[in-house]
Amino acid sequence: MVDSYQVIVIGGGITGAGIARDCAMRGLKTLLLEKNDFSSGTTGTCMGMLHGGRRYAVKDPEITKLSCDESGIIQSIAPHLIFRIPWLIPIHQDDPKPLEKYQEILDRYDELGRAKNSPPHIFLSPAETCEIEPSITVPIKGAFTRDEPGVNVFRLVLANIHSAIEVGATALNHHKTIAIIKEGKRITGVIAEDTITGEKKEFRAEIVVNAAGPWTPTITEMAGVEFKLRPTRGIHIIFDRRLTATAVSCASVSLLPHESTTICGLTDEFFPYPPDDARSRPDEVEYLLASVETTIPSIRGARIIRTMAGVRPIIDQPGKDERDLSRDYQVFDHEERDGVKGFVTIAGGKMVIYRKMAEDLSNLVCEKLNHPVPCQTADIPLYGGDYSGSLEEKAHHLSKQYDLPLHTTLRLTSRHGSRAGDVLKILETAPAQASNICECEPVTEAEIRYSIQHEWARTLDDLRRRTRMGTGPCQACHCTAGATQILSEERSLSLEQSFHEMDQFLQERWKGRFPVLRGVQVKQEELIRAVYQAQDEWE
Amino acid sequence: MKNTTIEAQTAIVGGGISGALSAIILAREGVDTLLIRKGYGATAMSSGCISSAGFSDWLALRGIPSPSAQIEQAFRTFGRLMEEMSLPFTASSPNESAYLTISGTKKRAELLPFSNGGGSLETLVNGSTLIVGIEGLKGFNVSFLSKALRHYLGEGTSISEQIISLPFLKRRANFSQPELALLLDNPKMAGDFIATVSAQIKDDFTHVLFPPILGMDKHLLVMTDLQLTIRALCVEAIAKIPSSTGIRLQKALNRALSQSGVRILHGCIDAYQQQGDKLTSVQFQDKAGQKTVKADSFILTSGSFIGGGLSYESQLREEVFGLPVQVKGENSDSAASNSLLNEGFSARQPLLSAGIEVDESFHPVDRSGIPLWSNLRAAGSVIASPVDSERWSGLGFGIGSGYLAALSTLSAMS
Repeated sequence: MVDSYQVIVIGGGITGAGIARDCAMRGLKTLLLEKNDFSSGTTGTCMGMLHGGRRYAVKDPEITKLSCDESGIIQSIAPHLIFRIPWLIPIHQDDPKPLEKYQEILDRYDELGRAKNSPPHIFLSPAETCEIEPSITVPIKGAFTRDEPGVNVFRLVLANIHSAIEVGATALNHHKTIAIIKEGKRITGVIAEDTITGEKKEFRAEIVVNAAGPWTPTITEMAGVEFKLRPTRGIHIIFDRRLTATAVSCASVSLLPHESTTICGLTDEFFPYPPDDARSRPDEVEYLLASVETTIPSIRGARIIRTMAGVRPIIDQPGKDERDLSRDYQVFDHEERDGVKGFVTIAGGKMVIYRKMAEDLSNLVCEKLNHPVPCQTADIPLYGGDYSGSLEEKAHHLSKQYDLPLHTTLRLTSRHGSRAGDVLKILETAPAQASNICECEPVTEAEIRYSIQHEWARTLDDLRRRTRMGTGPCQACHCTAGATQILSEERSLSLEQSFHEMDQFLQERWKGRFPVLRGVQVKQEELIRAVYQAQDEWE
Repeated sequence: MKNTTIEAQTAIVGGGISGALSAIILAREGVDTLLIRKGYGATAMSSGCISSAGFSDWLALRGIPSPSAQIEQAFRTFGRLMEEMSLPFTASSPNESAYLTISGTKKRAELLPFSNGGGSLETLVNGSTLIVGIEGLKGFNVSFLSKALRHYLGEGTSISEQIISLPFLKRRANFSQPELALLLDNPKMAGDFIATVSAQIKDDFTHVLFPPILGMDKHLLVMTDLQLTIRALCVEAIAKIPSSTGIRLQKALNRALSQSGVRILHGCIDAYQQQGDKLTSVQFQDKAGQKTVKADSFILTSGSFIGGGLSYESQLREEVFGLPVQVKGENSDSAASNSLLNEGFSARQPLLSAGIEVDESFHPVDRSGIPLWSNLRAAGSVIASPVDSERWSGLGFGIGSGYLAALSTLSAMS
């Protein structure tokens, strides 16, 4: 039997997840297909900022205004996933640009960004700057402030999927679209392969939505349609802890405290290769460090734990430089464009405007299906975002109720919001599941099991995205074995399959570590190998 | 702050397995021996299982005659020493026997702590095994280990599982293995533990497999009492970090050091003096001031990255004397940094096999193979490994090279 839907969305990044929620909320029978894991592509490598993009404030004010408006909406529908990022823009003593020029851009940014709920910028004297951020030790005229909201993007994607499923959608990760079914000039479905079991499945739909990000051309090609992107690759380096009190703009890169780490990025380089091959190069790491060093000279002594690389699905604008390409998005109706019915593509855009992108795309889908139901995604809270009172109170309460460290419940509520209690319910009958599997974060056994049972985590890397397991300074030294054993139990894996999962995860984590392995982290690497390699065998 | 000068015949830098063993051998031969250490390193984190593979490869590559006789002597010396220190080791044949680790993998070794040594998979296959877990103890998943044992031993084998709750644990979660091992050093808690276990074991088993938690300093006592009460062979699964068995090994070495009369100083060396072709003294700071240690001969046993013997920022460095570091026979400064690591996690990683090079008498040598100082020797994992790091087996290499470096020091004295 073939499963039939009204809409199939290909791509489980933030755009696809947003579209699945929007369509499902309008009452359409919707299927979301993701070839790897939700938010494992471009979305998972973004900086997690719900900002307007100060650098677009003058040259692309419409995108800035839209971004700020959307930022305000996400803050209201997913308050549990939001954190504040205070920011400094130090102006070097020898900067030839007059302060008024900066002032002008920031005034404009404040004006466009009212909906973002951020306080307007102020100018700090060198002494005031030093008080807030003592690591800025170079001569400066002072620093402008800005204030941006940040978001846990992995959880934002999951919240969208949870919400979609609550209103009847189906979501399948590790389902790679391998063919588009075409009958004459009409697309009628897709064939997807479960990449874990190898099983191939056919799904039918009235409309297939291509939201595959940088993989968009791969999907259009399957539909016999030509489509070109101008993909650019960006890399980040990640430090072991929060190095600074605020985010700091250093030359043209940013140093950004994020959760329990610090992220430094980003770069922008044309990348006409398969998106899966994106890696960080040593010269790019050096470029980022050298940029930060102009403002924070002590950065070289900090402990880098890994790098990450992602590819942006930017729409091609011939003749323009990478940094000048618009971050605007576009919805393509292939019936109009190429005479292929039942097939639409969305490309370009930024994480912060995903909801609006999904709304526009879903409007087109509804129009085509003659299904006039308006969008509701801006007004109804996302999964976990439906609570009153403060998250801190909730965390205190859970900490008392289950005798857990407050740190554990604070981190848990920041991921699960109003649903945090669901994760811990199991402790009433199995108190030992309060043990931490990941020490750096911390992540309890209860949360790992919950993620597998209720959040479609099928691999260790899926668990990492949902819980932040393995992302801290020990880089999965202590959690990998424990999490493998739980996954093995929950998914009834054989011993071979269990160790295969473990090897995959170790390889995936190593990919981000080895380009920057040095200093204290080399000791950590020896430890990881003592645990996972040292003369052990399992055949 | 005062300057103190301390004299000794031999000074050893590093207190892991290679440094401790060579110090003990020298001291027992009547040499006035002093050991300078800065803390625990890889030995205390190890599983305590000792394989000769890495050392035997190393000897073979250097064309050393009768390597196996040398290894046998070194291992025998170590075995006798541990026996004296109440931490007996069991000999095993890697070709015939494998043992279960807490990760569910198999491990092979020539010498295993006696708590691991009784539980080879080859003996379990004909018996009936109970795996005992403890509620709230981390890193020991009874159902996974049972799955692993079934896989290795075949479906027909008798394997049972039991998770017990210990009445004296107030918390119900988050206990680490060394933490529980330390608790069982308390006779009252050990008694409660043994009573709880024996009350819950209904059937007859030939083997009972525990997590590596059966006591720390009182390990032998806990094992004996448990064995007498349960009347089955009690074994521990092989530990991973954080490892009770590694800490037991390090503590047994510490006991042997003090019983052999080795003087121990704590500090991190920051300077040295030389005269002619000899190293004359090393210096370090401690709370009391600057200490200078003068000695006739020195042995460097500072370990690799974990121990602090080596470091890698933009270049590979030997931390104490700035000795030249080699990567797989190449000079580290000529090896491009991108050839030090490979993209495959389980591929060979030259960076992690790096170290100093020594001659046949364990003297560290310069780029052209000439000893740097006639009275400095080195042993343990500060030495470059010619084989893949996972074949290296640091403990076995530490014992072998520590033993031979001590003998070489002795023969130079006579």
